[in-house]
Amino acid sequence: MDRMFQRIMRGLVDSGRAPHYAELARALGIPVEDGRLLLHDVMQAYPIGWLHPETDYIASFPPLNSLPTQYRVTVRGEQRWFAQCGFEATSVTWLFPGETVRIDAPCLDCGQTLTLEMRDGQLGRVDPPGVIGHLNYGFGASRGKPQFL
Amino acid sequence: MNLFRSEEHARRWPAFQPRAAEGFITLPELAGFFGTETRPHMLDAD
Repeated sequence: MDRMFQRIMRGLVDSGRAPHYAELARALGIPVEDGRLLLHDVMQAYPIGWLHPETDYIASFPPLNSLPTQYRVTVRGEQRWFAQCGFEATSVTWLFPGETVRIDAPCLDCGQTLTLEMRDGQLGRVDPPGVIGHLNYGFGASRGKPQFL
Repeated sequence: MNLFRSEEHARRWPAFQPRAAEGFITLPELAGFFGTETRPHMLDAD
């Protein structure tokens, strides 16, 4: 499971897309069907990610998303990635050590862009300076919906 | 979990849940929250 986890994360970092289980199986030297079953095991062990419903396609593998979101990630001038959510967006920095990671997203209220830059876990430019995170179902016991909402 | 230009923008969001008033977190807090010991090692071999 560890090797598959790494392959998925590395695939996302390298290409911006999650690999298919058949590609993962080949990379790991296991039969394709074993790869599919192992993918499901990995996703069960990493429940903050998910497969697209009724498929074996990796939709989300935080901090990155294979399914596009409004959280666009730019590294080395290339916008190739999407963060799972606004909170995970601040974690993408750890996948690109030594690089400036820029997150651009439209504000869900007004549609205007907000931008933040991070490098090795440290916040850099934030525009506008008042950007704030919000979990719509609160933290702790009041949380009643999946945390990515 | 979303980012907004400010708390006021979040509160104006049509989907804002009043019971989620405790759900605000500043960016420095967020960066610290997601900077836990495991996060920098997501690409490391186990």
